[in-house]
Amino acid sequence: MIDPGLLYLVAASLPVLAGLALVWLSRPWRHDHHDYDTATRGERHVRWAGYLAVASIGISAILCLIGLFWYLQYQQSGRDHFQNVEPWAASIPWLSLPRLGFEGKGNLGFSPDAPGVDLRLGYHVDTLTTVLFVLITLVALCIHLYALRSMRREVKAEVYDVLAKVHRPGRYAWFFTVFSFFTGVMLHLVLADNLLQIFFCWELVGLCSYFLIGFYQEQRIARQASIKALIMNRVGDAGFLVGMAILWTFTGTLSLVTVRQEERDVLGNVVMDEGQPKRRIDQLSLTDTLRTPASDTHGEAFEEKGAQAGQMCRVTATRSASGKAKLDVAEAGPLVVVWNQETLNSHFHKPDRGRFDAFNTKAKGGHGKGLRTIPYWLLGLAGVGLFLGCIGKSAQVPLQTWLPDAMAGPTPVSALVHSATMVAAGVYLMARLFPILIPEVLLIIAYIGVFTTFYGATCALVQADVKRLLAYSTLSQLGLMMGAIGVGGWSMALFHLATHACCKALLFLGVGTVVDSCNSVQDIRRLGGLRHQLPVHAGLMLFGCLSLAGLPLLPGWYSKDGILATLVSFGSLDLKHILLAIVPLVTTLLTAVYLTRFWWLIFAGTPRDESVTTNAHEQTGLLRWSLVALVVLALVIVWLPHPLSMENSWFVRLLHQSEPASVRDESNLLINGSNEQLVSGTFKGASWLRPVSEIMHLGPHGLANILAVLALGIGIGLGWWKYRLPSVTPDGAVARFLEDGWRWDVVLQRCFVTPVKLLAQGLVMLDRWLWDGIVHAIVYLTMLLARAEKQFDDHLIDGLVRQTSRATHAAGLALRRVQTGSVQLYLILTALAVISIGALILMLLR
Amino acid sequence: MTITLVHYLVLAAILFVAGLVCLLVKRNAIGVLIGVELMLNAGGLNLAAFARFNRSFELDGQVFTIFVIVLAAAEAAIALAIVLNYYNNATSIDIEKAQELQG
Repeated sequence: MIDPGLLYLVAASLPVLAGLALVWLSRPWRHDHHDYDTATRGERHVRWAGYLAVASIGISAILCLIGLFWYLQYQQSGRDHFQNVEPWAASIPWLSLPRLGFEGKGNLGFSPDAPGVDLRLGYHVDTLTTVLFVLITLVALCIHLYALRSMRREVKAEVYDVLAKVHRPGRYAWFFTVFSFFTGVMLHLVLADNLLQIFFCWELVGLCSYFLIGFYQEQRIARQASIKALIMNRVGDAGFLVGMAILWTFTGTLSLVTVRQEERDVLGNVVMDEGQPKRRIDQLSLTDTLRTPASDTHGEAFEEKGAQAGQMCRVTATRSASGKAKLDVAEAGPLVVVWNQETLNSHFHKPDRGRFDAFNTKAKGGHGKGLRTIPYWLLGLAGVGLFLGCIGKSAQVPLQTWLPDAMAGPTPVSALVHSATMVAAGVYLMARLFPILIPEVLLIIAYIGVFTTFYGATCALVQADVKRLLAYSTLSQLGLMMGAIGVGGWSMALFHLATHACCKALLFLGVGTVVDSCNSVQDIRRLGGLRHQLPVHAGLMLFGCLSLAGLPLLPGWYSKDGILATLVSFGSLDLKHILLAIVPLVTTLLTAVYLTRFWWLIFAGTPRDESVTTNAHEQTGLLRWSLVALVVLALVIVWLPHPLSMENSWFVRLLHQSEPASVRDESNLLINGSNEQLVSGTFKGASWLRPVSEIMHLGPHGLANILAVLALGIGIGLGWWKYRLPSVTPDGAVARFLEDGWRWDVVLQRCFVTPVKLLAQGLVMLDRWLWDGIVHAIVYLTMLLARAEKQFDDHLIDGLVRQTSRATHAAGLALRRVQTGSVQLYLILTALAVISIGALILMLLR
Repeated sequence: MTITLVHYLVLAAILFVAGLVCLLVKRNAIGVLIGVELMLNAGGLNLAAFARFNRSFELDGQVFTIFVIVLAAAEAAIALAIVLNYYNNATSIDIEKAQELQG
């Protein structure tokens, strides 16, 4: 039988493959040429790009649904944990690395004894994965279908860009290439079983986002926005890398899932242990390395050694008189025990030697049974680093400003990438890593999330650009999810992720239709009265707005209610953190106000600018039905099987199943006291319809419920009262401040960009004056030396040579006179010479 | 008066000097050749005279003399050929004019 995990691998790979296949059809490197493929091969050809993308995501969606039912069936079949997990996960070793360990006296170095560590590539399907797969594929399918129609003008060989005022080639195929690729990579991100792989996908979705924001590359604003998004995400990714590096160094694993393998003897037979195949741990997940496992593979519990299963085991290190390092379990020790697979695979329990003797670390050559530790603050730093990555991706304060600017992309992109899926990746990652986050980090997450939610809501109040308004709203909702994760509302955060994805995609797609039918005008002050021209869309978007604002029984209400209940419970249990409860409640009110304003100014009243709205007319076909599908999806998520009891909703139940065991413990650590109320508050949604007396007994949750609905009512009322007159638009210093996103860009500019530029200028100066000066001096000296040498050469060496030749020449000239050519003269001289020699001889002989 | 070796030697010397002078002063190439012949024959006469007055040298001297005569004949042949060639080139046998090989 086929492994069910493979189903998911195929589902995730299909869009990627479709995207890669479409690269040929779109051929982005030829974009600048006029013989673009549509021109040469016809429009019909290019339409295949859209069909292929939709087909791939459609098949993925079907596979995911099959996978979901398969998974549920598996869970109900009551097999044991290993049998449940194993067909759903697989990994292959990818890179083998030497393990970095502490050698000798605590020196960090590569220890040759330590076994190598494998970086693995793999996938792992658990409940969270199945849920998110269904969500992502179905939302993506709706948006793909919408894009199939709304991007149609790109099919043409030549398109006129209204804003950039240039003609450019249509990029229909290119759009679906990146769109499809993006969806696939996003699915892979959810499917990946280790942090490194998640990081790869993380970067790839960032890259796709860059391409899609810069889709209208002729527009300066789009180019700038794409670069801004890329750079701000890089800032976050730096934190991600630091976090991964810390975890990798101290735990030696980035895996999210513990891999167990059947133990085999020398002959390759499975070793049996009491009728069951014996298993040994091949790779520990991050959670299992940092949180005490229930027992080792031999079934020996750790409880009796002072470590609590499922908790981080905090210890202090002492050194005994004999020099042996010893770890003592302490309430808030500075170190956290890092369990490793060798420890768990071997018996190291020695009952006769006392309670903590098992934690003795070998001073030298200690691998295997020795336990390692990670400083508690470093674990926190790793968490903060990873959260920084999520801040970048999920647009939390202070790296949030790229998201409103990212609205320069096409509307389906805003819907899919920048509200429903990619920005939710940060929430997903925090949810995944929840067990390794320490309470202090969770508190940081909570505060940043809650601040972001307030920030986004205030900015959305006054935005003129409809898409920017929705972007700030997205920011606000993402902040709410982050805040929920921070205080332990794990399943509610993911629940809100799902409902928000549907509703926000719906709103974006609706706005896309509105903008397209109004001559690409996005200014909310020039729209108005569109309910007559676009009645169905007005209704659909009213649904989206009310759902997001939290009208009871609509999808957003269930999740938002859960989150608010968690936050209020948290705040009421520890009054130090009461802000975490108050701010989201205020934000609920603001959300209702800006969504009312949004819907009212677009659809209600009378048209403010006739020239813009006269041509608007109702869209049918895919443009309508994809929106309806999103509504249905949102309702299916929350209403099945019964709209009045959230506990029984299939989606919430799945989420509760996938909730890490540590979620409740962490909340426990943060607030001093019982969290029974918190837990009950989280679980009991939809209590609105209960009798009032019962609500009063519900404590924080009931309070949150009442306050939220109250805030909603007041918000809608305020919004309607403020914007009921057609001419009213916010103005003044405060409005401008909010519209500019609290001038956050200016702050970033002042705090980071300008100093960096100054630093760069300083470095340029340093370069120019110091380094260039040194180089120039050297050049000058060298030239001086060369000149001196030239003189030496010219005058001494060349002079000698020249003089020699001259002297030789003169000698030749002088001597040639001897050769007169007169034979008789020679003879006379010869005769004279003979005579004189003779005479000489005679004289000498005498 | 008996004729002694000295007479021969004086005669040979006179002949030699005459030949030498002829060689040095004549501008006519033929004249120069004649001077050379005179000098060779002065040498030959010397050898003959030594052969006549010195018994141990008799045969050697005569053979040498004959060699000188042969040498003179060969030399004359070559020299005349040179002169003839020169005449063909310069229509003159004046050796004062034959100075083209000067430096």
